[in-house]
Amino acid sequence: MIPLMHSLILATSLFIIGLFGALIRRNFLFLLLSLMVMINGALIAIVAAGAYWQQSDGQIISILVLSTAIAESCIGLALLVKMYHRRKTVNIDALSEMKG
Amino acid sequence: MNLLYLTIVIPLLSFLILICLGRNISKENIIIVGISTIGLVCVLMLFVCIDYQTNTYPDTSLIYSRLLWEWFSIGDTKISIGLQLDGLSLVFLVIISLFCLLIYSFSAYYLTSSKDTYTFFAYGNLLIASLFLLVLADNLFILLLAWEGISISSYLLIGIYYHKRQVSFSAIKTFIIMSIADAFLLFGIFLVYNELNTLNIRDVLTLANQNLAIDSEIIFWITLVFLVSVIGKAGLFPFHTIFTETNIAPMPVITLLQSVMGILSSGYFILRLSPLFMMSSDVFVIMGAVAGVGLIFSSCVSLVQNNIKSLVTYINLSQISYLFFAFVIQNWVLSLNYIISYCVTSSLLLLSSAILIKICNGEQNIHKLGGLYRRYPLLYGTFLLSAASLCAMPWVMSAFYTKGDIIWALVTKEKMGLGIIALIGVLLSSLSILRLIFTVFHHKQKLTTFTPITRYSYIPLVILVLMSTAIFNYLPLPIEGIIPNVDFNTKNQLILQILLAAITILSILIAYILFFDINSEIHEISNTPIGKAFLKLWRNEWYFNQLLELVFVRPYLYLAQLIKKDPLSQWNQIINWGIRKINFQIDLLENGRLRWYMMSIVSGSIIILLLLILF
Repeated sequence: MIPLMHSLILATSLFIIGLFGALIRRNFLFLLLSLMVMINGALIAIVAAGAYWQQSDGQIISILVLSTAIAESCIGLALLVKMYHRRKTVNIDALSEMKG
Repeated sequence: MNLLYLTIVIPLLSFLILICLGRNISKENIIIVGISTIGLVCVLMLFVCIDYQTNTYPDTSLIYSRLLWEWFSIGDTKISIGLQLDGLSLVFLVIISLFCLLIYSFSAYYLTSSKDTYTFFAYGNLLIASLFLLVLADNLFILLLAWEGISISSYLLIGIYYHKRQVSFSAIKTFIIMSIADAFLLFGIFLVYNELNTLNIRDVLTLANQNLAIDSEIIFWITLVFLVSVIGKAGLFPFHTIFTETNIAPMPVITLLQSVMGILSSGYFILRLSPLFMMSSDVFVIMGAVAGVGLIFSSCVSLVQNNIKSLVTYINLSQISYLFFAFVIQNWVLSLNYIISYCVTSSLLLLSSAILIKICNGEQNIHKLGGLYRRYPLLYGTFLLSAASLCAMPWVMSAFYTKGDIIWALVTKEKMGLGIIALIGVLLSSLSILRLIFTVFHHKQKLTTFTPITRYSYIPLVILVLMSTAIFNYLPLPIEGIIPNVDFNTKNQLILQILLAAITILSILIAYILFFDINSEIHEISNTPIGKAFLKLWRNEWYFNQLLELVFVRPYLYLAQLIKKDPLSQWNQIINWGIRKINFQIDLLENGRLRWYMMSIVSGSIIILLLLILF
């Protein structure tokens, strides 16, 4: 049995890695990947909590969240394609046109 | 006597009329308004005098007092505006209105341009109104008001030619110095109120007599502060700038300011408060010292002046010292007589020199004039008589009796030093006036064209000449019981009179030797190193203005330069600077990048989480 703390530390570190990736990277593709990493971190925390309390709710929620995350990344990828089509770049800052 | 308040209201009204309409009405009308004002006042004076004589009030010192209205009240103190007339006020009222009438009628012929005329009459009326207010005030606070009125009107009068830079400076200088004197009066009023809880002059005098000890410290300070302010108004030595700066104004203004304003306001003030002054013997010592220094100062300066105006001004300045000598010996009746004698002499001198300057096309340097006595014998006569009055010509001029009595009293009261200074003053001032007369009237004629002048201008001069002779000596002044009468030792006075006569003859002799012809001896004397040094010193008025500049003006300007940037506001500047810096940094954060916003949200939530964990 893996202790709860270990899985929570893994989840937090994944979340933070994803967060910093989302903050730092300018590449839209990596942005989407970082978002996925963050969501995965959250999912691990949920699953670990469910296992801790001996309940299957956590796993059900994780499947739901995973499906929404996939939908979200699909939209993101579509936007990425559209953006690349228009701007010939994947740099997200190229879209910053409203100047604040 | 119920119309007494009109004496203040009429000049004020006339001032307002002239100041509002004077620009638009012709010179004749201005003169009519100005003269009729003072004429009305004189008629009123006549009625007041008749009233005063015929009154059968049991007390000899008749007091007419009338409360006009209450001005304001602070706590229990009520400052009321009230008029009060007794013998002393009456004497001063008559003197003021008489001399103003003379000067006004003279200036009607003298002033040429319409603008000068209306400003002169307007501001002169303001001065007269303030003088009347001063004389009739029953309350120290009203007195202060009147003094401020005098300050402002003399500022306006000196600044008649205000478009000249120098004139404006002089006017401002006068006003500042007078205001310093007024501030001293204010201190005095505070001290008096603090001690006696009243400002009414009669109450102050009686209460001070009852409650305060003679020669106590508080009395000394009160009288000292009053003395300083009086000196400031009279233009005695340390404050003489107000007197000499009047030079720059037109001649009638100079006459009005020098022979009426200064001496009458200061003389009245000291006479009115004489019981207070008599309680402090130390102040009289200071008064004597100041008067002595002032006498020597101004008579030495007058000896070397080449400008007629400043020569006459310094002579008048030296004459004022005798008034303070009269105060020092505490002979109040004599001092009142001397005030009248001074007014007569100085206005005679000033008006004659006004005519002289006018005749000579505005030429003021005595060395550019000469040989006028054949052409203008009448003017020559008035000058000679004013000189006689100045050097106290024995048994002829009234000045002989007043000045002689003052010197005699100084000698008998064991103030020998002051007596000798007074005698030297007589000698020096007569020397300087004789220098003027000899240079202007006897040397070779240098001017060829003269401005004609009407004979009417001489009328005031003739009246003044008559008044300056011994006929009008010791007028019956109704001052019994108001100012303390001092017995006067007339024993052996003949010795002094002979001494005075000797001094007169001596001065005439010296002046004749030195100044009658263009004399080589003068050049010899003035070319020695000591002579040169003294000449330079006296021509520059003992470097007094430079001293003032060094002591007051320079440090003031330096300080002003120093705090021009306002060091206290430096703190504000630092705060300002800090806020601007922080603002700049925060401004950088708001750049429209979503990433930065996310970053700030994340860091904020981390901080909150940490706080939650720690506490």
